[in-house]
Amino acid sequence: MAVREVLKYPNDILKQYAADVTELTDEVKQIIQDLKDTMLDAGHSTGIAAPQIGILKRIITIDASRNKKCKENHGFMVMINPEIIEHSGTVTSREGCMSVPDFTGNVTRAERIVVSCFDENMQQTVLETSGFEAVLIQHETDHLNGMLFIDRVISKRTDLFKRKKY
Amino acid sequence: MDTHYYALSFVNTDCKGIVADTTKVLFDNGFNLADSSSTLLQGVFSMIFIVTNNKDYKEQEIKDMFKNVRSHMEVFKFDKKPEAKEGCHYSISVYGADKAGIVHTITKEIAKNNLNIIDLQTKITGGSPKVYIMMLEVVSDNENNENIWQEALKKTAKEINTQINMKKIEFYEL
Ligand SMILES: [Zn+2]
Repeated sequence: MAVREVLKYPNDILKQYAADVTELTDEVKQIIQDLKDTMLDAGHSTGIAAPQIGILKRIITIDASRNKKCKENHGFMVMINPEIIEHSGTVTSREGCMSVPDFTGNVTRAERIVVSCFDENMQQTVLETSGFEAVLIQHETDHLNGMLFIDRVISKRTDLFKRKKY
Repeated sequence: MDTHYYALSFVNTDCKGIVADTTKVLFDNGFNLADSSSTLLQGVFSMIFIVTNNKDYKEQEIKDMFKNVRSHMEVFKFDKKPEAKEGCHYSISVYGADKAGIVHTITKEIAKNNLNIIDLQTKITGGSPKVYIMMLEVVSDNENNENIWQEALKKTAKEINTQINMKKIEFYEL
């Protein structure tokens, strides 16, 4: 059990591509536990990606139920090597990220997605979701490709906001 | 050391190199850029900078620094750090056939309902008849009475023959 430091931009690790996980080693199990602990420790967080704690492996943990307004979700999930294989619709929301603490930004993402991934037991699963949970998975999967929400903000003057509260 | 806050605004019809010239003066005089917004409005380039400096300048002293930059400028000095309003954010768009008083009528109703406008943009389409479009972002203390003010705004928009859309801005902590 370990709460890790969440890296903040401009830390270079956040801009790198994370590697696939090929087997469920003790190290991978430990990373999953650390991600979970770190996410729970940050009171308002609903998801975290391994690069955010300095590990360039394709692992994310999410829990959309931590957003009280998100009615339909799959609760806590570990996703290893997640891949969005289908998407439809668009939705714009204002995103905040633990790794970019000073800003929030308007980002347009797919409204509904189908994700293929491995769970914490390295069992392959396919999952369909929409709304907040779909936005959450896209945001965290972006972290595995060195993408931050600020890379997705369209360069309009009204799309990036200084955070008013911390 | 104290931090002093200043708002500087510039307007200019000749915009080539104006941002570089203006920010050079800021940089040379030790100002830090805290926030800025610049845009071209009908061929007039408008810039607003919120800057900080450890030095306590008079407004005229700052104006003098820019005497070689070809702009109309104003300086506003703050006594303390200007704070943004907290609360629930909503985006509002209003559009209709262009006629006088749309902005005033809508914003008067917004003020009456204790909402704060934090962003406002208006555009007029080029076609005939011309269409007026207004986009706003407003902040409310809370979401308790959103039905009441949204109904009031709908009624006001209808009275002046405009369409209005209001949407709460979803804020996601990811
Ligand atoms: Zn993030």
